[in-house]
Amino acid sequence: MRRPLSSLAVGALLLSAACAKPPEPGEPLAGLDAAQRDQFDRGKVIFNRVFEPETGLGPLFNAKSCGECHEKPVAGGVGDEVEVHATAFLSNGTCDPLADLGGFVYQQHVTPALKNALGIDKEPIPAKATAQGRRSSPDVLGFGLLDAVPDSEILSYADPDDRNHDGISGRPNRFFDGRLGRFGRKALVPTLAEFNEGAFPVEIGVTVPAVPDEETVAGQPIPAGVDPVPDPELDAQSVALVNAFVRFLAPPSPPRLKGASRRGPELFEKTGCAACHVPRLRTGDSDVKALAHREVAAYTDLLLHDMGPALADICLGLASPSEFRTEPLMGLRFSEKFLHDGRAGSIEEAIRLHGGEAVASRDRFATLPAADREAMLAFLKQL
Amino acid sequence: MTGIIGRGASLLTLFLAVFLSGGATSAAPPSPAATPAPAVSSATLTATVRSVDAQARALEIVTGVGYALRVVKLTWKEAPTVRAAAAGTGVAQLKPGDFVRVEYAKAPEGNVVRTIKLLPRPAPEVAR
Repeated sequence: MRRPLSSLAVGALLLSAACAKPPEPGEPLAGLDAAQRDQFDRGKVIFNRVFEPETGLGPLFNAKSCGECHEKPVAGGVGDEVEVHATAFLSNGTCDPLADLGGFVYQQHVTPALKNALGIDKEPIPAKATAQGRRSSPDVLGFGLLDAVPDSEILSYADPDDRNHDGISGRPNRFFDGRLGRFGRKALVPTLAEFNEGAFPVEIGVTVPAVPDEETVAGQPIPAGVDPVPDPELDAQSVALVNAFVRFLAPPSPPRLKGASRRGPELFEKTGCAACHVPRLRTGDSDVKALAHREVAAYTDLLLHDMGPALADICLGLASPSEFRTEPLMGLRFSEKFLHDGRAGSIEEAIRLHGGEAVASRDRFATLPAADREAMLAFLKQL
Repeated sequence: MTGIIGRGASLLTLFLAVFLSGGATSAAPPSPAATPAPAVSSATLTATVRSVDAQARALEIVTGVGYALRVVKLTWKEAPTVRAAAAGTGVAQLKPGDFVRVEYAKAPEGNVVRTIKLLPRPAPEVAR
């Protein structure tokens, strides 16, 4: 009697797991324990906390909260803010991020106190910069899973010398200490935790324990009295909670393909788009069970690819001006502007603007029968 | 804080704090002598060479946390040997873009290099 009953119980469990509704946008990953869920909830509050000068905002900043730029349709989603980066690509082939001149993120807002002191409305770009780049605000849903993808998985897609002659030659970027980068449009930052922690001083002007000094104004120190809040302006526990919130955000649910869009994945492969926008990556070991050994439908290889001169802007780390990390397409359904700077008003326009290594795929898409193009676009709009 | 945040984040925070602030990793205990010596602590950074000027005894390296980048300026009293795969590399042979691990003292006159290790370029990536 016991065996059939236990089999039934296991069967019921499996059935309920199989039928479990995937998390809605903005909800946490399935399978978090109670403590992790608590961290997610408390981190979300800080993610949406609006800072003011009296609580640490600025004196240079791009936004008053994390949620100001990552807000649609939920906290962690996309935003319409566009920020400015600038670096210098030197004649010896190296990239100067202008870190001694306030770079490479140049804040677009200042507090009233800094405006009164210096008469500026935003941080000036130094003359040494050889290029500026505009950067739109992407969604960060599922980024905890990207964080958990092992370096070896990413490197397995690299082919810097195009030895397989497919015209695609992805290569990794490296942070300033040599670690593999994966976050940011140029794949500079190795981990989600560092990306999040560094964003407080750079984007909001809020110092944190790991970055206890304020950004400079294009290399000049902040004038005395302009920022009276003691550093660090946010404690380590709050930073860790925000990191937990972002890390535990569930990825967008898998698309429910209907009609013509069901042919989308096949067409995506056929055109060669999937060579860089790798449909699925696999996470490795993780101290969080919900992040360990999972497939993530990221549609990226997290590598740098040459996108051609028309899209080129700044260098960063090892990335040349025309190299960009393959943009993850998960969450594409939430975007209204496309490409790294939001210059494309539609997915079709974004595809048309692909250059460099993507030319062959772009042209294959352009020559598809109209019905196939529509099918592929319908699929992409559901990612 | 528990679980992931407790261990992972606190270690990361400590690691990064040392990175950016150039904080002490092995601060010497205060001297009991009547005339206290200036406090000197040491720090270690793994970073990218931004510039090197052997004549001016000036080395600049770039480090940071995420997008928050900082330049750390260093000097030396006696030209340090650069530990590298190739024997006998001098500091003048360092180039912008090299990855280095630098141990230095935080002294009143600035950050003084103790040792420099030139890190090998990352291994070639696997072709798919």
